[in-house]
Amino acid sequence: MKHLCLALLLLLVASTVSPAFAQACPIGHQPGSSLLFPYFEVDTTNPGGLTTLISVNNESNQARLTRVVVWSNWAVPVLAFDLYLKPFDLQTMNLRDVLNGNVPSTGEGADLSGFPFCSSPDFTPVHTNPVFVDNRMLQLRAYLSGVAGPLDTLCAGQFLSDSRARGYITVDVVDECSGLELLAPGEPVVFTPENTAFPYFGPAGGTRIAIEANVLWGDLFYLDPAGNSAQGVEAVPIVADETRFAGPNVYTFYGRYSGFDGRDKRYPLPTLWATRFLNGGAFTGGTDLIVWRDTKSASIARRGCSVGPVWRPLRTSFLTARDEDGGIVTSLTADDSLVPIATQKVSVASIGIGANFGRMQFALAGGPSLENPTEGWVLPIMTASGRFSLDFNATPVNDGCSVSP
Amino acid sequence: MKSAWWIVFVGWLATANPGFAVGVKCDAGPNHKPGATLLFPYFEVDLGNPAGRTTLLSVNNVLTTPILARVQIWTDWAIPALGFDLYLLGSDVQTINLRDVLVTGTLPVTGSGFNLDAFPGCSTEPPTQAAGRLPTALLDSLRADLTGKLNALAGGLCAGHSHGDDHARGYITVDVVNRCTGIRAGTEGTPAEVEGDEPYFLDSGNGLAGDVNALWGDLVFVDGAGNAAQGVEAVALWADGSEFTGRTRTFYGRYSAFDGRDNRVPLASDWRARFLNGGAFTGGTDFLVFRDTRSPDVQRVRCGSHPSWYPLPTRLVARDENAVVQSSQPDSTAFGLATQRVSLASLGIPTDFGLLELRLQRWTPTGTGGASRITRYPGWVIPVLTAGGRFSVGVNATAAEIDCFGPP
Repeated sequence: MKHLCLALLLLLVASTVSPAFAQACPIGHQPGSSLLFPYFEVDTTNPGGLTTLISVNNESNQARLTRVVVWSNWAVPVLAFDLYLKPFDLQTMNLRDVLNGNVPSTGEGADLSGFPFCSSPDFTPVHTNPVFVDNRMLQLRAYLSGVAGPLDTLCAGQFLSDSRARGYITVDVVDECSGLELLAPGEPVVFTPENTAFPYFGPAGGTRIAIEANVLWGDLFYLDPAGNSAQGVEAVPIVADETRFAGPNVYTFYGRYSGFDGRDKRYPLPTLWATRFLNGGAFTGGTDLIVWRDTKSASIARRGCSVGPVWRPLRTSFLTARDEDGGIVTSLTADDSLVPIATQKVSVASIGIGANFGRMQFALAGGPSLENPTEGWVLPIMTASGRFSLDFNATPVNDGCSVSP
Repeated sequence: MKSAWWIVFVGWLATANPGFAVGVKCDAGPNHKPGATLLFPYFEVDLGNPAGRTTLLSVNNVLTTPILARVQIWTDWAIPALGFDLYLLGSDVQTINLRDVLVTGTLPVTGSGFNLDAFPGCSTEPPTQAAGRLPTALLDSLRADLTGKLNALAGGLCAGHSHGDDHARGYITVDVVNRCTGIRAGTEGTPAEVEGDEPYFLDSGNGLAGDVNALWGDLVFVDGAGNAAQGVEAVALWADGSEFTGRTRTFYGRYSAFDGRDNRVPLASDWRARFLNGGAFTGGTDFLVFRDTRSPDVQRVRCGSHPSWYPLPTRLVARDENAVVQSSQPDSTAFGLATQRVSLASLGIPTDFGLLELRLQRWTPTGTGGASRITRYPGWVIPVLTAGGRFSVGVNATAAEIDCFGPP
C-alpha cells in the first residue's frame, strides 16, 4: 500500500506540477545575448511628437558585433542592420532618426578583421546617412503604420487609424556582418532570427550568425516633448545558455522560427502576468498596458492590408481583474480582442474593468487550460494627463521554462 | 500513512506554487518574480509641502491564500524607524502613500473582520494597527529619525543623515512573516533581531519571517508641484532555503554574520547606468542608490557624527558615449549612506552623456603583484532622468555581476 501511495504521489506530482522542477529561466537585471525592446511608437507626422529612444550597451572588455532587427507589430522584419560596439561602448538611437533613413554608423576606423564580411562594402556597419530616402523611406513608414506604401500594396503591420509607426526591436550578439537590409517587394530582410536556410542560429562551431554572449544591456524611453510626457524602462535582457535547451519541443525566445528545437539557446519569457492599474487620484490619465507577445508562428509574410497575418488573433486565455479589496470585478476568458497582435499599447479603460484601482492577472495562452502558451512582456504606463507619467515592468507569475511550446 | 503522504503532497503543492522556489539560479539575482521580501530602495517625502515630493508603494500577494507581511521603514543610516504588519488576502494589493504615514500617522488597516487565527500574535497585536493612527509621540520620533534631526524621545540622538531640509528619507523592506508583531519603533520585530526567543530569521523560514515567495510591488515617486513622477517595480528578493546555506552572501546576511539563515538572494555590487544631461533631458540625471552597510549596527549616534560604517565606498568610472573613460574615482564616498539620491552634477563628471560604472565595493591592495581584495557592499541603482519641470523617467540600472557564492 505504501508503494502504491508513493507511486500515485509521484505520478500526480509529475503530471500536475512537473514544470516547477524544470530549471528556471529567470529574466533578471543582468546582461543578455539578446535585447528585446518590446514596443516602439513614433509620430512620423509631428517632428516634436512622440518618439522612442533606445540604447544598446556592451558590458564586456571585447568589441562586439550586434544585429538590430526592427519588426512591425505583425512581427514582420522590415529593417535590419549591424552595430559594432567597442569594449564598454554604448550606442543610442532615436527611432525618429531611423525612420528618416539615418541609422547608426559604427566601426569606422576600427579593426573589423575579427568579424567576417564586415570589410565588405555590401555588409559593412559603416554607413553614409541617409541610407534610404524618398519612396524607400516612405515605404518603411508605411509598413510600420499598417498601410500600403508607394512601393507595395501589401501590408506588414496593423493599421490603427493614424500614421504612427509601431513595432518592436530585437538586438542580438552576432559574429559576422550581414549588412543593412530594408524590406521591399522582392527584397526580403533575410539575415534575421527567422532565417533557418542560412542559419541565424545553430550549434557553436557550425555555420551561424548569432552567438551566445551575455554582454548586452539597454534602456528604452518613450518621449513626447509636445505632450510633456516621458516614460522609461530597461530593455528586456534575453540570456542565452549554450548548455541548455536541447530540443525537440523546448520553448526558447526565438523558438518559433525553428520548430522549437532550442537552437537559439535563449531563455523564453513568462506567459502569465500580473500588474496593477490606476485610474484616478494622482493618475487621472489612467493606465495603458504595453504587451509584447510571441506569435508562435514562423510566418513573416506581408499580407493584404485587410487580411492580416495567419496567426492573428492571438488569444488571452483569461484575464481576472480585482479591486483593491481583492474582489473580482472583471473576468474574461478566451478573449481574442484584448492583445491580439505581436506588440501593442492597450488602454485599461478599453477593457471595461469595473474598478478604477486594482490589479489584474492574465494569461497569454490559447485556451482555458493554458494550451498553446505564448511568451510575452508587459509594461504598465500610468499617466496624469499633461502632467506626468511613468511606467515599469509588470510582474511575471510564471517562468517561461515552466511551459512547453 | 496514506493520509500522511497526502498531507506531504498537499503541503508540497502549496509551497511549490507558483513554482519559483525550485531550480532558481542565484546568479540571476532578483529577477522580476515574486519574492519573500520586497525592497523599496529609496523613499522621500517633503513633509513641509503637501504638494511636494511623496512616495507611493504597493504590496501585492501573488498567492490565492492570505499572507502576513511586515513593513519595516529604515532611515538612510539603516536604522529601523517603524515596523507594522499587513494582512493580505489572496491576490490582494495594499497601497501606501508615505505622506499619509509620515504626516498624519495613518497606517493601513488590514485584516479587520477576518479570522486571523492562523497567524499567532494577531489576536493581541492585530494588523488593524490600533485603528490606523500612530500616537503623536511616536510620529514625532519617526519624523525626527527620517529627517536626520535630533530625536528627543531617543536620548537626543540621531538616526539619519541631516540634509538640512524637512524631507524624510530612507528605504523600506517588506517581509513575509509567520506571526503578528504589532507596531514597533526599535529593533524588535526587525531583521536586525537575531537573538532572543523569537529571532526574526531561522533557517528555512521558521523564524518570525517566512520563505514564501509571494510578494511583488511597485514604487512610485510623485512630485505634484514639480509635475514629475517616476516608477519602478519593487525589488523582489526570492528566498530558497536550499540555495543559501552556511557562510554565504544573502540580502540580510549582515545581521547574522552571513550564516545564510535569511535564505534571501543577495544584490549585486557592480552596476552600470547611463546618464544624460542635455538633449531632451535638460534636468540631468540623479541616481537613487541603496547600499548594504555590511554592518549589523543599528544604533543611533550623536547628531553631527555618523554610524560606524560610514561612509560606504564606491569605485566610479564614467565613460562618454565613445567608451572613453572621462572620470575615474576609485575611492568615492558620493554614495556613502545606506540609501540616497545623488545628482550626476555633484559627481564632477566632465561629460554630459555616457555610462557610469558603479562598483559598490572597496578595493584594498594586498601588496602582491598589484592585486586587490574586494569587499562588496551590494545595492540597487535607479537612474532618474529629468527634463526640468516637464517630464522625467526612472529605470533600473543593470547589474554586471551578482557574486552569489564568494566570500561575504
